[in-house]
Amino acid sequence: MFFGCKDAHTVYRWLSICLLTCMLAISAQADDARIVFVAHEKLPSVEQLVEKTSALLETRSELRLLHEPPEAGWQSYDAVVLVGPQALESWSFEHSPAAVAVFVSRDAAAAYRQQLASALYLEPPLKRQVALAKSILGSDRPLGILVQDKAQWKNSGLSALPLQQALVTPYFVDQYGNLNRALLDLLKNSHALIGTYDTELYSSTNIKNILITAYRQNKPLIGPSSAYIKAGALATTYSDLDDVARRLSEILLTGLKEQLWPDAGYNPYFKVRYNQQVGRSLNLLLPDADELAVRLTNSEREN
Amino acid sequence: MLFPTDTGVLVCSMTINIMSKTRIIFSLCSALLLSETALTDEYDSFELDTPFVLDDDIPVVLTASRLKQPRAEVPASVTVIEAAQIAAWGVRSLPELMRFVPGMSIGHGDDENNTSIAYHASNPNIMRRLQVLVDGRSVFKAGIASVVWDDIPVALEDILRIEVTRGPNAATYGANSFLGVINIVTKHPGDTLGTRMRYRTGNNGVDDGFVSYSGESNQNSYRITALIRADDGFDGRDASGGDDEYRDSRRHGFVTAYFNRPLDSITQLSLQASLKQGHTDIRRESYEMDAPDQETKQGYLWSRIRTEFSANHSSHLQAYWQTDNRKQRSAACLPTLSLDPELFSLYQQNPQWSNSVLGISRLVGTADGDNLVGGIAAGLVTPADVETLLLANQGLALDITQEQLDSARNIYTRGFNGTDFLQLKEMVCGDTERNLREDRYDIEWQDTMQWSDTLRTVSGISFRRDQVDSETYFNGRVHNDTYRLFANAEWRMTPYLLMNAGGMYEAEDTNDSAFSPRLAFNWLLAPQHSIRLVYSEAVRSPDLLEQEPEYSIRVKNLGDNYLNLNDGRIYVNQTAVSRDLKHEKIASTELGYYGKFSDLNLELDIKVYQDKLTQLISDHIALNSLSVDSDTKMNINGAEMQLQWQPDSRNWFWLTAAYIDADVTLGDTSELTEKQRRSLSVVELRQTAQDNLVVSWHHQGDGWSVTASHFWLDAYNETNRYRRYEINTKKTWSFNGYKPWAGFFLQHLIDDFPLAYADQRYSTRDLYYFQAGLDF
Repeated sequence: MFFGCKDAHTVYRWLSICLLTCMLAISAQADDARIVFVAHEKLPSVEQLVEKTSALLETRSELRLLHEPPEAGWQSYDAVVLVGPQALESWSFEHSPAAVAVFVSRDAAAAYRQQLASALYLEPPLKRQVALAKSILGSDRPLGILVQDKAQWKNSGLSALPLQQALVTPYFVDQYGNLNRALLDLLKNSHALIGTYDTELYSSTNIKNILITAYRQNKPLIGPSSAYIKAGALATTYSDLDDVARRLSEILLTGLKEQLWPDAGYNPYFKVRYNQQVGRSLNLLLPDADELAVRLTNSEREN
Repeated sequence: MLFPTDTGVLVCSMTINIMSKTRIIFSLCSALLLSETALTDEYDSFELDTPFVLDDDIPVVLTASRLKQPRAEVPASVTVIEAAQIAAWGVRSLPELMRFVPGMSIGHGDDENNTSIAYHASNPNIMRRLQVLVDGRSVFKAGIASVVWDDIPVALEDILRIEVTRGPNAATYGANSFLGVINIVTKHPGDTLGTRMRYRTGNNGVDDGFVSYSGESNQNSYRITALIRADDGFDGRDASGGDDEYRDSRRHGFVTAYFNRPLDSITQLSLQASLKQGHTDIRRESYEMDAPDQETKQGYLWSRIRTEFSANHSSHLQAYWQTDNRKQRSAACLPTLSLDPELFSLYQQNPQWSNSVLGISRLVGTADGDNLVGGIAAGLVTPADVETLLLANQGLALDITQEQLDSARNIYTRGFNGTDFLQLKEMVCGDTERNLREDRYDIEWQDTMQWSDTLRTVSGISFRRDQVDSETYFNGRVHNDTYRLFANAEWRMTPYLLMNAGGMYEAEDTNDSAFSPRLAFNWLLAPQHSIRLVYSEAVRSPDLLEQEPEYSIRVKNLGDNYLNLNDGRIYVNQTAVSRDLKHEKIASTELGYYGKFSDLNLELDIKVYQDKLTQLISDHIALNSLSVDSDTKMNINGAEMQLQWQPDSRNWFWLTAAYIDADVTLGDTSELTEKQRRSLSVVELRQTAQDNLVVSWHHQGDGWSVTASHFWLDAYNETNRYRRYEINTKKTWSFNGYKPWAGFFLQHLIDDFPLAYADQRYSTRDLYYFQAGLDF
């Protein structure tokens, strides 16, 4: 809504998602497909993802570690789901079935765009985070984004977003000489900092400085992801395991049935998470998280 | 109870003396363990990226013990002035900012050119019933209790926010948090990186300069600020057309340094140091040949170590030393007799008779005078004769003993030259000097603990030594040690009801021990709407000068005189003999409502209150005060409101209103003259307006801003009306990282009434200044 322009492509994408969801619900099953999940270690969250996706696809899927290929080779599967950047980076695409990457950032997936059949980004889209910030703080409030430099800004695809209309201003760290000076200028002119999924900028070392500086001036951080909520970020949109499994099963189903792999993209299924204590401390009345997620989802669909 | 932390946030709490200690500790520990486990599970379930993309766990940065209280849960009336508002209003000094606080008024002492701020009502001559803290350091002088605004080395440009607690809150802010607390929090040096320069010039002698540089390397950050502030002060009761006929100009400057660094992952070290020098013009007394201008030198060192042991537990240790040197010198010519040591002693026994002894000596040369002086010197008159004579001629009802009459006899005899008593009229000249050095050493440990989702405590202990070295005021060095123990707790009794309780116990050398309790309930009508009921008690300890004075003025380098003195003390003096002053006391009850209407972006706070003040010391603490008692009573009832509205991101409004109904009852005034009694009866209300309204509007354009404010005070200084408006405009530019700006400030007085005293007015209705600055 806040970006103002209707995008035919987005409408088409949402229609196809709806269609696929219906297909899933009615009858379509991938029961004859063999799917393997590959990860660098067997984490409980990965095991749950395998279970949930299998349940949705009504098929059995396997979880294998990177260095444990099956005797028949990876080609014995119809599709491989590469879980996390470690699996993606170490994967040999040469003798691979169609590969879908999950739990990877947009930047990481972009490097393997040619080789990957599809990918589901880990982070929420910036546009969604901006919409979230506007819903909490008010639609006319100026917002700021920290970016390392202009090159990163271009590569990240952020520059293509109509941010100016949404009163969102990027602050380039390299133009200020250091992070803090860029941050101070941003906080002076903005009502909130919207975190981008830049793990270098928002590293565990920097985040402390960013949060303490921002909160000294009563300005909240929105995002970059759910991992930052406990640290002290005010709010974020995020996709949990159910959301990832839901979208992944759609990707696999479309890819395997129709032989048409959806483009790599953000997860259209998401929730809203707050750090309630931070909200209270900033004297903000936070809208109901579930209702807001529905509102944001509907708004994305309309656009 | 509000609690200041090093980031200036307000944290809540109360004492726990209902349950047994063991039970408390057990239940609190269980609650803590449970809540931590629950928290971990809750967050881990949705942090999907942590094991894949992020190298380390993201640390918990904003811990529970560090977060601010939601406004609706703050158990006090609080006005917060932010840096943005300070910049928008464009005023030059801290007291001017306090005009925007409901119920606060500005007055001005008449003797030392000190602005005084009162909340509801207070004596303007010396500002000593409000606590003022800068980053946790009390700038309240304890030797001669007062807050001297010109002496506070903080630039408005360096202030992050000012939290004004309207009402007593000793349980949180310590001793002398009596009528209220002004808590100034300065910006972290990491938040002011770069260079900032300002210059300001205008009419009324305004001439201010400011330069500040902040830098950082690794994780260390520092700031150095230098400031000079000067103006001509008031112009006097009859001045007009821009003339200045009142001697109260001032020029003060300081350099302050602030350093911050992390010692390890959980500990932060902050250090501050400052040097300050100032000159204040003071009007001369009749016996002084030149003006006893005040030269001041101050400095302080401050340090704080803050440790965050866990997300729910933090502590700090704060220590500071501050020193204040003030000197006043002037040449003086006065009767030699007034330096007679025996007259000095006589004054301690019977001040009015001593004044008469001097008065009678001025009559030498007249037939009546010669007869009386001769009669006393020859021992021919009785005390009853003198008493009758003084009652008949001067209207003075004195009680004189034979011994006191004999002292007069000795004094007069020393002036007899063998022929007559004309020597008693001899004048002698010399140099007077008033010196004072005050030092404070203060150390405080404070612990903040979030025991569970429903219980949070702040507790601590502190020691303070106030030491004063002054021949003038104490005839040497005196000190006062204060030990303080405080605890506050916030208990969420139900999701909608919070109880805050706390108290401070204070033991000190020169006054009795005192306990100041505080109890508050906040009933949450909705998440951002609450009703609060607060009861709070506080005391103000009489200071060393009130309680233990040895106050006299020495005149040195005397010329030839019949007493053959090289130096001597003026006979008018103050001693501790008659003093047994009690703590000034306040008991305040308030009923308040706070609400934030998020849709409108509007915040509203309303309160009605009743303050009962007892044992107030209203007497002027001056060399010639005949008596100083702690026996004035004051009852204050009233209501006040504050409204902040931000209709959009470019505009904000600020509206405050207050109604004050104060009633003063004087204690024993039998020793006072009618004039003194009249003056004393109005002194506590001199700077109080019955009705008070302030409205301010700010608009932010692209690269420019304008702020307009209007002040309306009715029944000010009993009958006057004081109205004025202010406009502050600012234009900013930006070139390659350089941000120059220019501004203009205008203050127009609609009414021409003086402040607390007749001389405190300007000879023009328009005060203005230009400002220019550069940030890079």
